[in-house]
Amino acid sequence: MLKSVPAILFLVIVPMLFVTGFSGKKDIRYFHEPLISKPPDSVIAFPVAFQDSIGDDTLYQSISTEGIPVAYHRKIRTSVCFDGLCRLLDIVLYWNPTGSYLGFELPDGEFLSKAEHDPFTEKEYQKLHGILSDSLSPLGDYSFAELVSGGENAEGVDAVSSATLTEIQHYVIPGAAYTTYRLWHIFYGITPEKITGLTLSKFSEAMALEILRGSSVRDQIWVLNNLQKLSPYSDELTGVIFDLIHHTNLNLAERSLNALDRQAVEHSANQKKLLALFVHGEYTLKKAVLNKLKLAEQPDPEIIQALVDLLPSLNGDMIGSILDLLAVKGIREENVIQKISLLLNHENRFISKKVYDFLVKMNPDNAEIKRKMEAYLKVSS
Amino acid sequence: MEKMKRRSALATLGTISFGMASPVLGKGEYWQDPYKIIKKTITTDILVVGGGTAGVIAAIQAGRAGRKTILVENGSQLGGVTTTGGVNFPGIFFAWGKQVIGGIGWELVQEAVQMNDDPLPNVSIPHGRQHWRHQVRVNGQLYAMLAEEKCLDAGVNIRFYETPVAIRFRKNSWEVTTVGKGTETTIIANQLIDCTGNAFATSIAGFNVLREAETQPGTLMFRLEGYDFDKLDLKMIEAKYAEEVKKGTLNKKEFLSISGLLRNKGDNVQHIAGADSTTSETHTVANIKGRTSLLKMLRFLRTLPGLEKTKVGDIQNETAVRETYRIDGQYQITKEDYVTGKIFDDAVSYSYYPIDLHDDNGVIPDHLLEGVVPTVPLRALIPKGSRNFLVAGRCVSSDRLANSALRVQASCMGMGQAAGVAAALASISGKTPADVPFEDVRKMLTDHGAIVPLKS
Repeated sequence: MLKSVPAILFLVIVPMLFVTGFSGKKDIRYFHEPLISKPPDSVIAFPVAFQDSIGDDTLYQSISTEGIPVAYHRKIRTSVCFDGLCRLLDIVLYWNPTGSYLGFELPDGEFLSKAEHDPFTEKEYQKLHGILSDSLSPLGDYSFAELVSGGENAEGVDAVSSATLTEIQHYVIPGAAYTTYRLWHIFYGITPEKITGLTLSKFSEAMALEILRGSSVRDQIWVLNNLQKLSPYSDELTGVIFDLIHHTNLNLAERSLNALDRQAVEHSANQKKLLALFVHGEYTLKKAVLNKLKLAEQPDPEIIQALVDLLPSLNGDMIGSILDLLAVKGIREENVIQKISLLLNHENRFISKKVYDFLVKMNPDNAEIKRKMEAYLKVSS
Repeated sequence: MEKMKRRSALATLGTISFGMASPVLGKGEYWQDPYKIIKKTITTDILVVGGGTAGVIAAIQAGRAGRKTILVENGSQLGGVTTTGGVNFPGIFFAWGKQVIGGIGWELVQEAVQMNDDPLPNVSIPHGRQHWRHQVRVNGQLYAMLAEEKCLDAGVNIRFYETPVAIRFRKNSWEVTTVGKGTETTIIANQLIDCTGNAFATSIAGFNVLREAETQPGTLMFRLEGYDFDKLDLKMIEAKYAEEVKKGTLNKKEFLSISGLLRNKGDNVQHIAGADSTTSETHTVANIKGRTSLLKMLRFLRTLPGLEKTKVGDIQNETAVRETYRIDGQYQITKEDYVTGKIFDDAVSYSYYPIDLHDDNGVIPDHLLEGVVPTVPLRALIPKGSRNFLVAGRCVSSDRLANSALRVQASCMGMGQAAGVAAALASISGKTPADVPFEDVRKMLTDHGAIVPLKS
């Protein structure tokens, strides 16, 4: 992702006397709790080709004393016009280091206005903050021209509330449709991609831990999707991942399971946790658990035994997945193969075939098992 | 030496004279007997007719339950609307932050997503009025391959290019005659599952089916490329489009929003009135209409500034169909049942989608109230008066508005798995599906990962 960011032409480290916004004091400012609670210590300016023809081409990265990116901001200056009269939209927009929306503020003396240049009310600022927080807003599904039914629809026009599509009216500030639209598209346009590219170059366990311990699922998933870059993990990070595997949010649980690395799975204690998840967890995660166990060089014999003991209670597809795990790991212990061979006589032909195929693959020496295999072949053919 | 020459010349003459009587066969060639239809009779426990969204899941489930299963599909690949139709964004599996449809359908979708490194939607963020945000984009062709692989793994005998022409109930089994390329097959099956989407097998078997005087339009899925949407003068394009519509050269009902068409670069934007996949003739008409409509639009677009280089990046082989026939089932799911989230005693699956009826004016989805998750009773999958017969998919017994929501892919997958289980248990116990103890159905569904509604 960093490749898409043009070469850094200059890098300015500005002391924190320079106001970063989310911690500064401004009259008009609307923010969520920042994802990273650490105070910003310095700001680095990155020239970025945003190609959205808005504002300047600088993305400011605020970093903590530990070197963790804590927020990003852009200074936006663009024209919003109505009836041939234009005024400057002067605003500073803030993102979390994962590219998610953080908030906005207006420079001293500036305010947002609607048609007739009426200033936004407190309620409208709140509504705008809510609209900009909605990453799934329908504003993302339409061009501005489509939001304006009939009549004039040139870009720059802001007084289109009466002509805005009915279904979209809830998602814009009346009299400031264009302002709302432009701001939403800046927040969710190319900027988040540029931000995450920069963040990943400073991605660390400390940052990952802080976000994973937070409550924003969207940001937790972002971290989990990028976590392999930090492998091998510390025990602390592995512990947090296991906590999330049991989260009620299935997306989060699945991504956490996916993020576990080979080193974590090597530990017998972690394999036992995975076994518990297989037995008691959501059905949707069971196959992923077995696939994760495949990462272990040598799965704990106790785990293997437990899985084999479970076989008679499982459906054929799950039995097949466990047999696949045993085959991949070359498990050939006599007692294991013996137990599995008992399923050759299963009344479910799908299951007995899975077992037969497995035994063929393992080519056991045991004469009794060979006899059972021959008997199976006779019956099934 | 002279003798040798004479002998060789005679041999050549012989070959020439023989060659005059009949053509010469080259090395490895042989004469084929006259074309004959291969007729045979085969038996199975369960026959699934239709290898689309629901049929694939029903067949895999029946196979995994240990039943001998045949899957008849009249096309060349599995997956139906999801693959051949190109509507490769099945949904919706989650409702109000929780998974409501799992099992084999979700297993397939999940594997397709993983193998293509696609993202799953973050369903913890409510979709609001944009329910499609919770649909899962999959690679359609990959999905088709995975579906086929899972069918084969489950021991399902897949028969492509075949369609039933006669269905009779004899000696507690269904005798189904299918025809295909050079084949005429009699399949004797203890249980029959109609997953044609059109209640086609149900109708041939003699049970009642119904349809609306006017059905929802179909859609030919395609992808456009060769232009920069952000640089287009949409106002001018809208005006030009309106002119063509007024002249009658373009049909507004086929492309309701030209801006939408261009913004989405094709996709699910076209409406083909009366699209019906029930017979070869009606489906041919739907396909031709879809392609003719797209060609006209393409020619028009290429006359416009900024769109001169517009081209078709991809196009599906078939016009996907939303609505044809529904069965007259033991129970008909009503809109009231659907929007109130009625949990039936014999509910086998959830369904989650807005009431979504497409017409000449487009579609304005009617979203479910927060917390509502409708359910599908087993009785809605059983045609009235039938034995050993089930349906799954969009031809589920339902009124039109309920059907406009039930018809979507995740719901059809849930129904498919339920039908596969009910048929398997009926086949094992020698009963008709309605007589199988419901607790057995629930247990097998749960054992196979399906999510079965439960009255609290």
